[in-house]
Amino acid sequence: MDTCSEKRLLARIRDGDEAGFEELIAAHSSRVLALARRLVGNREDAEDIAQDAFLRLHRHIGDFRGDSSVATWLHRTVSRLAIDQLRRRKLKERIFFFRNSNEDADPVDLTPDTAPSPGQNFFAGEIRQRMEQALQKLSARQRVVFTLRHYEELPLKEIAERLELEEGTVKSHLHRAVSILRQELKDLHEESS
Amino acid sequence: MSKPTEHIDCRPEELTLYHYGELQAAGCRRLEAHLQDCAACRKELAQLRATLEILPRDPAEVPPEQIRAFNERLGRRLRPRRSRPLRPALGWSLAAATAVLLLVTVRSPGPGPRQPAPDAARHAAVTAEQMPDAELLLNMELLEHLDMLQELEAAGVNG
Repeated sequence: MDTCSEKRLLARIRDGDEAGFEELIAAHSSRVLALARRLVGNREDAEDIAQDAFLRLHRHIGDFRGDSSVATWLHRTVSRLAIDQLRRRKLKERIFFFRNSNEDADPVDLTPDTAPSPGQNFFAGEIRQRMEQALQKLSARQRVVFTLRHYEELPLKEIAERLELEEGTVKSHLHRAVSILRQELKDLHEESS
Repeated sequence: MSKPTEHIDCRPEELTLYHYGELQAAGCRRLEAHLQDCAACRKELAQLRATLEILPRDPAEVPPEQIRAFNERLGRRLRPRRSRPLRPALGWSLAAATAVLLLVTVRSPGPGPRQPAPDAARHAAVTAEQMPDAELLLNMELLEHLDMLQELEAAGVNG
């Protein structure tokens, strides 16, 4: 949706056009859901986060000044919500399993969302599953920074702004995330080479 | 992951940043010059790239039917709010009536000086009884979202 169309749509919504917000949802939900799914790794949490982001936008639409686009606002909100969600999940799992250390393998980490998508072959599915397991070894921030840089291809400077972190901190999170993924996926790499 | 034999110029974090194009021009030149001389870092960079390249490019395809269902569900959730755009007067009056009813219930065991006036109790009961069921349910939902109403009052978005 271009800037002018978006501004017109926002004006309609503020004027009480009831269908306007649903148009906004339809325009952005695909990308928001995909981002949320990448960030948290399962459909249920992703939908919760996406819904929360849209509800927040709806609640505050009257105050939306348009300093950034709706897409940017949603992207930033989903990224921050994902960090909260991942932290809550890790905390819940740690409490549940009484683990001694954050670094220990968690039984829940080993049961990723394995719902196959159409057209996936076995090997791709295997890599996806391993990838999800490896991503669960990362801290919430490491995972979000890695996902935003690797999959969303956002520059680190922008990631730092969106997450309200120092750029140096974001660089460290990215490097640490890549190191952990390399370690976790070492055997896959060796098989493929 | 095999560790390169680190010497003074080996900076593993820079390899990651280099791969993602996040090094400044001067940093790139310095690292590229270093890579000419350092076999360990060349190997490290090659392994890093090989691992990142085998990762699925899009681990989160969202099927169209899931998007449709999500849009519909969210639309349904928002519709009642929009068709009843903030009826604070009614909502708050019902909240007040409920509070009075609760007081009546809690303090009813026996007659005493703190018992509410019969008129007030009767008025509160009548208010609730006279309200059509649908209206009552509708406002009960508003009561459930009192926190949201309060948030709205203090709302502020830096869009």
